[in-house]
Amino acid sequence: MISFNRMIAAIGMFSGVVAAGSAHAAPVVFDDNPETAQARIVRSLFPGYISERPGMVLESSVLDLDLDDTGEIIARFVHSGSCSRDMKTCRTVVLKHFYRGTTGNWKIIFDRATSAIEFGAPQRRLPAPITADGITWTYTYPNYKPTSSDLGMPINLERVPPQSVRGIAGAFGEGALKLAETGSDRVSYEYGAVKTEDGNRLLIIKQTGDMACGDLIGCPVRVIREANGKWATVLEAATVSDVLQATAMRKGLPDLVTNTPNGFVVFGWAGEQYGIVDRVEAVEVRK
Amino acid sequence: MTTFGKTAGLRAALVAAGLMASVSWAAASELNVAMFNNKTGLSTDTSAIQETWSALQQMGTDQFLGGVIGNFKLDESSMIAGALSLGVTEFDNFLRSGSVSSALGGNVLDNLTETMTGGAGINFSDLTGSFTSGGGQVASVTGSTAPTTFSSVSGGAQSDGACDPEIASALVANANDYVNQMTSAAQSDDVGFSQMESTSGGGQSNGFAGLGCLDKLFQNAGSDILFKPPSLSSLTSMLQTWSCDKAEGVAQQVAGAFGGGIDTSSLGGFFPAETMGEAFDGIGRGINFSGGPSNPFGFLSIGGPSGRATTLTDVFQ
Repeated sequence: MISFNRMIAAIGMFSGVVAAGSAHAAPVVFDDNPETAQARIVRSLFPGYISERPGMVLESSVLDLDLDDTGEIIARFVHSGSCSRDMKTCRTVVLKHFYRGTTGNWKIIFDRATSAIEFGAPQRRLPAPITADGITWTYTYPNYKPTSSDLGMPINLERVPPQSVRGIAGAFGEGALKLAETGSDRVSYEYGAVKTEDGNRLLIIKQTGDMACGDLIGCPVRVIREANGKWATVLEAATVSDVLQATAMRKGLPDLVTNTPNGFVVFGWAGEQYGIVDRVEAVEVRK
Repeated sequence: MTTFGKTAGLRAALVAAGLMASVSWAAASELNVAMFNNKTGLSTDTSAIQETWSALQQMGTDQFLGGVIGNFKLDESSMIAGALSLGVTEFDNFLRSGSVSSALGGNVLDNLTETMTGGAGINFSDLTGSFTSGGGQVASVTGSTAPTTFSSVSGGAQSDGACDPEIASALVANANDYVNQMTSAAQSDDVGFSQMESTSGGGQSNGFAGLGCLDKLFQNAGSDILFKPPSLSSLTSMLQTWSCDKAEGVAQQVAGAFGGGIDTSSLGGFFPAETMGEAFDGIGRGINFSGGPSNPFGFLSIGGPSGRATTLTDVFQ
């Protein structure tokens, strides 16, 4: 448990810092008093969102997540328009005050619907990691980003033999096939097998090379499945790093996880194709 | 100064001039790359730009050069920006299909729009070998001049990719049944077109009765014409031999679509470098989907080197 050292008085609604509690690896204790300093700050940042949901209960708390004696605000919007049907999973945000000279403003560094949120211990003045519904979020300026490492194991990929490239390039489209037919080495391929319970083979194929991967999406990935003697593409995606095989199984096939520039996507088997189960990504911090 | 001295001096001057030119050229390229990086948010260099353009040429993606998405005209620098953003093969897929996989996320097309519009208009002719005047804003197909993104002008911005094939097959079967039912109703002895033709004496030249003979023509071509139209060569052959005055008019329209003088025996090579599926017996693709009132969701206009472009609607009008 990290003890709290000093209290800092609020200076103003928009540029002030808020009295802070300590960061600790425990569930956050929320206060639903609408007149606290942190509640007024949250209402000033979300005026339209709150006004469109009359009767909303705003729960808030203050924690010094990075031990800089400036509190971060954690807020939870409790309303039928902000929560799941059972009202257990509600939109939750974390606000951090960024200084600019002598002034500054509050920015949203975490924004996701959660049913449970906990904060770990801060390290080297970095905001404490968050655990929200089993997913770990770590802070790298300017926001919290989710990590997928807990969701499964990276699928081991090997280079596709040159003589087999033409056979699989077609799964990536007409352009990829043309490149392969010219023997170009601008785009190369890796592949890995996935164990399934339905007896049909499942292969992950990933493009590699400077020309293959893009800044916005990472490297293209295709998942192909053999059924009744034929191969078919069952997922078109991309990843900035690994493709993970998750422990969860649906209809005999495991969930797959790809990494995006801002988080990750979980795909589940839908019977004939893989579909998106969840997309977990960092909030965009506006300048 | 001796002649030798003069020649040596001239040679040195020429070398120096060449050096200065190459330095100047390199500086201009670096400057353009710096501008490109600043406007797109990418981090690239002259080598990567050359390699990327070369890859696009190898795939044939450069056929889209000069094409239009909404009000945005593709040029070399914007296409390079797109390729660096998505990867060369995914960018090629995007231009060919007009969409990206939904697995890539809803913001991809918005971000791609920003990158490509920012990167447009930069002269990389020294690296690519050509310069096309392009750029502009991606305006909505409704005619509004408000800037928008590729996701709103591409029609289906997100391809699903997850449709259950069994459901798809059932939908197609239902569609076929409906068409067959409509065809049967049109041909029924009580209320169909054949009844109208028989009561008219078979001689009317206008209205539904006049088209009765064409209806029979397409019956022979296969009742599933809506899904698998006959090849152009077989269709025009039938038109020329069918004893039906309306068929002659249609044959003239089809011939007119190709500038007259159609030779049915050589149709297989009419557009040798382009394919358009069964309608052209497996010859090349030169599809022009230019936006307009008749095709508001037209995605791309291909202004290739030959200028060839035609539409399927010209054939089946």
